[in-house]
Amino acid sequence: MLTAMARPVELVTTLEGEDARRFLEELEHPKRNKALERTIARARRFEKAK
Amino acid sequence: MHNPYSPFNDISRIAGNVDLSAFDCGDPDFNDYIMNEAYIDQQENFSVTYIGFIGGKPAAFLSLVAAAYKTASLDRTELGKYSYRSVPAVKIARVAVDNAFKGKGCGRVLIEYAFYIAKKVRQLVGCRLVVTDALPERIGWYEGFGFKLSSQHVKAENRKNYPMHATLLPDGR
Repeated sequence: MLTAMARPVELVTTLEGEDARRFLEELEHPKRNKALERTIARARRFEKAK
Repeated sequence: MHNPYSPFNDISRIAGNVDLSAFDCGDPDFNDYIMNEAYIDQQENFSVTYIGFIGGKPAAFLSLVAAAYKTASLDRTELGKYSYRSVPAVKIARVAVDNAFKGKGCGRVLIEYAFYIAKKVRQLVGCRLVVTDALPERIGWYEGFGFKLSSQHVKAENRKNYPMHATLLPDGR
């Protein structure tokens, strides 16, 4: 289960139970995420544009 | 700052002298926010809003806040090597594109800009996630950037917003 929020924007999202365990597992042992790799590579363009 | 792959001539923090009166993304709440609240929130240090300009006109905006994911109801032995109950994040609070500039990749570039900012934040105070509360019709769009739904249960709950997160890897990876 997850308790989260609608507008207005809340700053804290609370994960519980299996969601929390899955989240921490991913944090500790991240799987390859090609879409994220592509996004971060594109974000680097702003560093180069400085 | 100009990124040659960006539709924007410039992306900069919202300033008090920017005329946003003609901004219309089609969502009255977002229009009201950018016209009347974003600059005040920024002055009060609750958020920072970045405006993407095309031809000198405000074409899109991105509001970011400091946020956290908390792992409740787990005992200490379940926390693994990260013995923190909160994980620091940069949150995409709002992103919107003026109707006149839709279809130019403005939204995509602002999300990428959020990751650029998150990487800078990570170097200053620590940050492990980029997170957002996605509208239902935007879940697939965010997944295209590498975001994942933070709960497997929320889709069945008919929510207005769906928490999503993208995990930044350690050491600049």
